Amino acid sequence: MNEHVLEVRDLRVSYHTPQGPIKAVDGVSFDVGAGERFGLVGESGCGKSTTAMALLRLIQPPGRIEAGEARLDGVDLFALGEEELRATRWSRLSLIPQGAMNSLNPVMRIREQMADAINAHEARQQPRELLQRIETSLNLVGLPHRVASMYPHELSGGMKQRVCIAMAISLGPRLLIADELTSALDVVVQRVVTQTLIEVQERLGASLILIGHDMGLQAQLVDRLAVMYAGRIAEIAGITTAFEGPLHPYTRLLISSVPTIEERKTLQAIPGLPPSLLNPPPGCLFHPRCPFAMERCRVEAPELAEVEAGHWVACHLYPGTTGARP
Amino acid sequence: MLFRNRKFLIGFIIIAILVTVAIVSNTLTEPALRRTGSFLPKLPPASGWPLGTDSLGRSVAIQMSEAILKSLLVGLVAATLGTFLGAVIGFTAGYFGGVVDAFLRMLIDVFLAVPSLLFLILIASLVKGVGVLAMAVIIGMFAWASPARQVRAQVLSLKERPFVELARLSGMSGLEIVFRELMPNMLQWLGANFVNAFIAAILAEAGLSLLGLGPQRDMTLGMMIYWALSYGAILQNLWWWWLTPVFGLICLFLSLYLLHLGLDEVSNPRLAGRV
Amino acid sequence: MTAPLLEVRGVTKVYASGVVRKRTTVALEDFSLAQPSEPAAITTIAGESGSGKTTLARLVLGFLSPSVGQLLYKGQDLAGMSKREWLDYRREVQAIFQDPYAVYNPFYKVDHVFRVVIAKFHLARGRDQTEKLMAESLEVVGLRPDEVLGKYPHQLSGGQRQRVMLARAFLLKPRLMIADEPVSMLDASLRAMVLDIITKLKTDLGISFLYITHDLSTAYQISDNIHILYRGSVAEWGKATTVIELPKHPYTQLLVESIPIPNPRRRWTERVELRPEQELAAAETPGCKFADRCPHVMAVCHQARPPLIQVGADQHAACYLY
Repeated sequence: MNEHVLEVRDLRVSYHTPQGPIKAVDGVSFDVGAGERFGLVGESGCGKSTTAMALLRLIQPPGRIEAGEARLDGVDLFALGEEELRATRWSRLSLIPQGAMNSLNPVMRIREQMADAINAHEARQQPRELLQRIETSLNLVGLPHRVASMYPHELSGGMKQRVCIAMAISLGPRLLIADELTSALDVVVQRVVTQTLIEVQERLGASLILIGHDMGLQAQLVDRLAVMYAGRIAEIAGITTAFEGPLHPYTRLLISSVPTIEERKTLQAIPGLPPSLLNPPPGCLFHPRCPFAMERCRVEAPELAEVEAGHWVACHLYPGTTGARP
Repeated sequence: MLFRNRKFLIGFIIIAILVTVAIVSNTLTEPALRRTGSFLPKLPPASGWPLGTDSLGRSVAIQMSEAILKSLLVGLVAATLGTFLGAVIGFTAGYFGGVVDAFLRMLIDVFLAVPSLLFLILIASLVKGVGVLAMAVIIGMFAWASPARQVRAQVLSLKERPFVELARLSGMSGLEIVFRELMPNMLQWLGANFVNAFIAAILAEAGLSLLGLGPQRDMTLGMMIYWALSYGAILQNLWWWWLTPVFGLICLFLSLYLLHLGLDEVSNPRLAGRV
Repeated sequence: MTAPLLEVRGVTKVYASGVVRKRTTVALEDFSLAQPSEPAAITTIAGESGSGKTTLARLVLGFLSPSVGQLLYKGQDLAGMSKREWLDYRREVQAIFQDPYAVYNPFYKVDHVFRVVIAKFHLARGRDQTEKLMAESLEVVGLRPDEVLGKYPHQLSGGQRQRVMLARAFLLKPRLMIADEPVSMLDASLRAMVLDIITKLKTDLGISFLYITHDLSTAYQISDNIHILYRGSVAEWGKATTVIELPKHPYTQLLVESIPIPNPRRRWTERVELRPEQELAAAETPGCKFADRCPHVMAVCHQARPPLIQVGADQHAACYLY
């Protein structure tokens, strides 16, 4: 049995507004194995990006991590002091945030930005060695060396994203988190960038958390999938099971709403709106929109429980979803 | 809704109080009391003359009631002129583009580059015998360039927005779009700009008056300070004569600034510390 | 035979930029399309960024004029239409845009978008008629009047806003709708709903659509015909299902290949190469624009633009392979 690289337990993150706290992440737990590709999917506002930011402790006020543990190779990230945290970021745990390519410094050349990332974590390198490492990183992502001397605006979107990947892996992290890596890119470029990401991840032997809302990409790339809804996890399953035998009603509706070129069919819409995270409904957060809602769902929130090997669901339709915690 | 903002409310109250007191005391004062020699000169504040008297035997309190209103008038006229002119020019340049825009843009740049205070001094010194309104107009002449540039920039950016395209698709004409779609979005900004111009105009007037270039025959806060200094009020320790108008200016400035901050916060809730 | 609803004849649009050294960009080159009046159909214009699809939309909506060629609506050339004729055109040709927020004027409540067109086109008289009309339109898109009327845009969700836009379109009962990436900024569950409404508007009301998108998966689901654009030129066009199931042009093949299919059992198998030169500035070439990326490139491809050749019953490709 693989040691888990990441173990998240009961993560809770809230944003404190004058109207009250918004429970962006409300009790999220999951594990990521060594070398595994783990997908985190959900619609906008479900809390997937917040989860990623929380793991790197990048949540700013009025947001706050209220509770939970996140163990990276056994070390609780939330218990680390400032110095250790800084050392952990980039070198053991890396994030490519949403819109990363737009955050590249427009007035610095690529190699300077990559050098910054490396120097911030390791003792000052010899310029030649630094350049060597930068060129190696660029090679890994399939970019030519001359990119190092270019400015961000001279590169295309796909190239910028690959630079971001190169920067994120420059210190060989154990876990890489990519948040909406390709949503602004064209289809062909998207394929090339995701291809690069996978190649890099496999070569490093790192684990990957792929966050996004594109179910097609998740199907193509990840080993296991977690579906989030309104700040909680609805289901975690192996990717094939998730698509062929989803258990949670939300997952089922989500899968059948995805357009595909495999067949022309009527796409399933999910009626209603996601719940307010400020005043969430009692019981299961999905019950107002669920075609299978029972009395119990209105009152009691289901817990995430393992109903088959490796398949976790939070739904009252399935036995064993009360009390059992992952 | 605007009045629920604390800063705006406080600012508004201060100004309201000043204006009301000034108007009331103005109407209640007999014209005879305004003339020089109506009181004994250089008297410190006492019950008959609550803010003291100056070297010419006039009540400082009576002067203040007139001066506050006159200063506010200068601010009002100059700000209105500047903002209105600026808005019209900005809209025209932004919406119509082309040659019109090129010309107006040049005009705006010229007026912006010009050191307005120096020019104000120059003009004020050339024009003999300015009255309050003339002052206001002169100051207003230099206040339109900044709003014009910003309005133009706003219009240029709003022009490309999808809701403007939608308006075109709905059959609206260019002019209709400017007035019904673009203008309302600018009102808040124009309001803030107006308050800014107001403050700047009052201070400009005070500055010019201090230099002796003010409306000699009228009483504004700036002129009061000017007279006080000319008659050596500081040296003779007639503190009530020069301190009062200075304090008045500070009050006006603070209250208008609070109004401005309040307006800013209402239009941009993030400034108020809310999410 | 009645004139086609919309006809685009050999339209080219060239942009010139720079004052001292003029740089020209050909956004759209020699594009032609004929959308028949009957039956109502959804035609997709597909392409990646820089393909010219947005330019086409703007040309059809009258925001741009073509450098070469004509656009005809019901046989009438758009160039030189009078103000009156433009108003009539706007009555019959409407649009729905990509960003469901920016399309609203934040100063007004969402009712504003209805009231403007009701007033402009005299669709109702008096308050009662107006309210009834608005309620009817909202019902078609599955919204209740009390849910959305009287609210400001920021108070509604993206899906609600986009549906209000569709309701506005329904109000006008246009003949042709230009839908520019209507679902790309919506969540998956809402996409299905909006696409469903679009299909309903076509079948129940006979409204034809020009669906502009980069997402072939949604195009496959709802469109009848499709035109694939690459850097301003048409690579392939024809019946949507045929073109996507059996693409003939190498670019279309690459495009279809690159779509992430939501089926874990059908994963990408081959590796796709993209050389940096291909990603950056496009060199001007007299030949086929796809030549430098094409796996089947031949000498003739560099010489002149390939003509559109019929490669199937409902399919045309611009490629020398055929």
